[in-house]
Amino acid sequence: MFFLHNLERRVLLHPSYFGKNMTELVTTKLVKDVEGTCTGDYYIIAIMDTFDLSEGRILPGSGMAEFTVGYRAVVWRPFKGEVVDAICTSVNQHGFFSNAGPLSIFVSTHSIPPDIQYDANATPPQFTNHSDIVIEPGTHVRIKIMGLRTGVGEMFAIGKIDGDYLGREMVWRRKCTKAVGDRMCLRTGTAASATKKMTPIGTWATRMGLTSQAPVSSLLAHNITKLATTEGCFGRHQRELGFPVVVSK
Amino acid sequence: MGKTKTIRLGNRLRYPITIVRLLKNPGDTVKKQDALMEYSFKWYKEVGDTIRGETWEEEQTTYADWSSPSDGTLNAWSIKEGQVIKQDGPCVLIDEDCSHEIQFQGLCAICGKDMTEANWAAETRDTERAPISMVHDQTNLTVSSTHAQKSERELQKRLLESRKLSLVVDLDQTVIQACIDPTVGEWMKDPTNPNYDSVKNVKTFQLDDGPHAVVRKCWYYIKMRPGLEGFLKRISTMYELHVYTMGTRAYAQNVARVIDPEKKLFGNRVISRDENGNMYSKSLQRLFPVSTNMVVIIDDRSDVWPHNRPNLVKVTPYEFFKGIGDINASFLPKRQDLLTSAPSTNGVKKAEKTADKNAKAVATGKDTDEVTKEQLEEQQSALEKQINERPLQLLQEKQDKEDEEAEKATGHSDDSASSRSSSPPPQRHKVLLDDDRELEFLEKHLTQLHKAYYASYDQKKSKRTIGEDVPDVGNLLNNLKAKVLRGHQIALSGVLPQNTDIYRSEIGQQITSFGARLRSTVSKEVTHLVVNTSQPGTAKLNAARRYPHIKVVGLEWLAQCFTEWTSVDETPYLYFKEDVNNVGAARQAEESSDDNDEDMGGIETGNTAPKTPQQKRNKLQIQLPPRGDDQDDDDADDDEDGLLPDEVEEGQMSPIDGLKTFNWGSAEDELAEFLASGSDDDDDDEDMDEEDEEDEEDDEDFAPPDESESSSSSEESSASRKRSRSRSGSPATRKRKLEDDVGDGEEDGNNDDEGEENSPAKRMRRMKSARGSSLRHQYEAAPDLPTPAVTGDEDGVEDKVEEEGQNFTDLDEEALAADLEAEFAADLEAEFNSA
Repeated sequence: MFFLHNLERRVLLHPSYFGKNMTELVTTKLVKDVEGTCTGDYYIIAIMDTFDLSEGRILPGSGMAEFTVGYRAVVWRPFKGEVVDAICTSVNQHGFFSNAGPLSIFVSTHSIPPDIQYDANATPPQFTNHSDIVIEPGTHVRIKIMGLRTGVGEMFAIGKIDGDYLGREMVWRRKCTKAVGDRMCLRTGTAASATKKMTPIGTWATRMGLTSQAPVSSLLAHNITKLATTEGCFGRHQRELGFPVVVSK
Repeated sequence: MGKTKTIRLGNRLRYPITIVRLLKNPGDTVKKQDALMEYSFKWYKEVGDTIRGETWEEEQTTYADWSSPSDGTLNAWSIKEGQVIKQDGPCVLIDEDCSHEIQFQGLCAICGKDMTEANWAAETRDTERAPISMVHDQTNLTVSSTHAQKSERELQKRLLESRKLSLVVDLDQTVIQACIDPTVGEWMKDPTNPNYDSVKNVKTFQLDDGPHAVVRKCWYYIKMRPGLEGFLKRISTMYELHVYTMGTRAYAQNVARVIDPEKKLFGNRVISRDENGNMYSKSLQRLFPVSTNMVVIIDDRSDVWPHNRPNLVKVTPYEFFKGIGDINASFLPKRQDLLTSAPSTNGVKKAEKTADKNAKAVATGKDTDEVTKEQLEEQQSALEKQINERPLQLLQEKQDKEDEEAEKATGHSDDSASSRSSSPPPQRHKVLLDDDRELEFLEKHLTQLHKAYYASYDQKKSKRTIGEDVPDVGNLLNNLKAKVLRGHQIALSGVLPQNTDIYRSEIGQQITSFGARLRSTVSKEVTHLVVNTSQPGTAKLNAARRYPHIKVVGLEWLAQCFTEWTSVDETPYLYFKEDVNNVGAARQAEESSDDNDEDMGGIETGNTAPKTPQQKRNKLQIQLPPRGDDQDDDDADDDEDGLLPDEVEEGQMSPIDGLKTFNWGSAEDELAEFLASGSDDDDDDEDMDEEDEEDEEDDEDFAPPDESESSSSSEESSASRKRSRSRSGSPATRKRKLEDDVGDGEEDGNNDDEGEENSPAKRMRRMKSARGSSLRHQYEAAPDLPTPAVTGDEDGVEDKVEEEGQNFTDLDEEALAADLEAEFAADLEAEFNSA
């Protein structure tokens, strides 16, 4: 789930950069250092803005200036039970790997509907039900996260696609239109309240003036396209990270 | 998903224990760490005053809970309340919720639980339930052995249905050759270059791997082996293809894209060194953990497949970019091949260094990661070197220079080489030749193998229903190969360094795998003598000359046999060209060599510089029994006749293998007995001889291993012994032998007619019994000699035998001595030359 999160970081600046546009330099350096990293619990997707830029303090010995910067960033923290859109990257006889942005998710054959079988003779090998569903590298899939493990600077997840509205995106869309039409309910993650510091993106979206109601990932996609136009960097960034971009009609 | 698991009590409990109470009943849901039952155990506690030493032990009874090591439903108990249990055993059956058979990065891929959590209730970690990594492109996805079996059975079924086998294909120098020398790129753009035609269809890609500035963004030039496209296309109808390379992942994928743009042949079945988990060797078990019965490998190196030799079809390395070799093999030891164009000394050194480093790492327990890092850096620098030094350009320049010199007879050799842009001479020869035909043969072999496999499968199937028991392709491959050189007996000369075990050497293993028998010495049975034409071991050549039926061929013949899997016609490969025309040449050579023997005295047997065959031949004739300064020869002969095995026993095993089971104790006993009998009872010779003969018969079983052991393990020391003994050898002995040699030609002729039983080796063995007695004489004559000297000093012994003349001085023995003489002279000569 995406959150707007207030964070703080100490930025070091080399003495040769001391000058008029120091604050700008500090911000640029912050963005460069922080964006796209994983803290272990969440990924920092994009920095929205900075505030509370402290006065620089010269560190004894090195001459570097240390600034403490408060900043607001869009972070993504995957939760167990969360549904994410991902792109399949590789398929093998035990299941398939997919990437939801920076997160690598494995879906095993046990969590794939029984009618979708591994077909090794196809080129490239794929999971298919021999009619409309084909999962091969590059396919967009909707996955529910079953388990998560965090390492140092990385996260891994296990997912499943046997469930309602899960699996191949195309199928999901058709089912959705049949079931609920265009008005889809907004899922509010229960886990969001667990981390009180974070603002659920739903609230943030409302504050931003986005009123569309959609499942969370679709909403995200919506937000992201909006952001791409309004904020500039965000759209570019999430594309770099590999999130599927769905332009809403 | 649920699977019943038998859970044991574990060996951490203090047995014997008494079951007090079962806390859960069958059908109950149990969680990890839930107490399942209560037990008690008795133990002794030391009580009393420890300072005064007044302590005694008191029995204590303790009650404890036994917790469940896994989640699930309790199925049944194997124990009862009140039962006393003496040792670890099955305790309870639990239907597990999830058996965690597939795991990804420490997460169970089925239930999503974290497997890395350590728990006191379980004896083993959950991560150990899925230890096998069998996916091509990931190492962090592991499965359990049962799951691996299941998925392999599926694979097998699928392959059998489509009547295919699996083929693991190596990239570098097997189907392609890669090179990063930028010269290739320049040649490709320059139609005037003589190599333009050759490099026209070289494929390129750019790779960004490596931190070094030079290697970054460097272009890779990929030359496919001629006919590769068609080969893969046709082969892929019979085999499911896998790529297994020592290159990086990015490299492997790019090459796969080059040779298989539509991803139809290899699909995603590409494994590289990043996923291999081992920098030095490849293993089929990495991809096929359960059964390799249906897997064939094609690779240009056999040493990287230490455990899968039976499945390997060895391919002649493809060398299009001359001198470049395999750009991804910096980690591997130097290849030992038949016919590699000699790799640059640089590469050899590097390989040695690498090997050293590995050894060091093992010895010091140095972090392997660190070593790996160092090696990565080394590889980087090797690549950089290639870019900077441009070996191909140097090669072409050299060729140009030669051309030029050939053109103008006067050595005018400065300009074109020094300036790259200077206009080339009109007729430049190209360095890169594209004349490889390996794939044609390879395709034939693979087709043949496929046919044989399914023939055998169908046969098996018709007899009874086949379960999981399919024919083993490794056996079939061995059978096919064993037919190739069956009936041939091959000796090598100048091919391997002296102190290598030929049976374990790469070439030796190959020869035996193709059904030929390998001989260490030239004898009557030998049919082919394979010589290294650039550096012939002259001695064995001469020995071979005594037998007109022995075909002396170059190594190329062997290589061609290995490539074509047939015993190819030797004619083009014969070492002595005139033998082709003149049938009796060998006989004549023999006679003339006999003539020459007499004038041998002062002639130096120097090193043979490259000469024409005729010259060589003359030289060889003169060299036959070296005399004068080369006195070592005699003694070395005597030594070696005891040390070297004459032939390989059945089963083509190295004779050393026999030693593993050899009973040294009994040998020592025998020796002691023998020595004792010699010292106390020496007069009645006849009796002793008989006794010794009996002993000898017993000894024969283990004699060859014994000999070979000492020859291989203590090669150096024996060599030094030889030398020291040679100095002490009496001139009389030498003279005697010289005479033997002179007469040896005629006797040899006689011997040729005799059967196999009379081979020098056999006769040698018979003679050994005689030695026993003479040895005793010797012992008697010089009682103050230390024991080792007695056993070692065969020089004097033999002399004695001959002088005695009663027991064994007949024609047979003389001939034998001569034969052996020739053999050993040959061996020694080889040693001299290679040194």
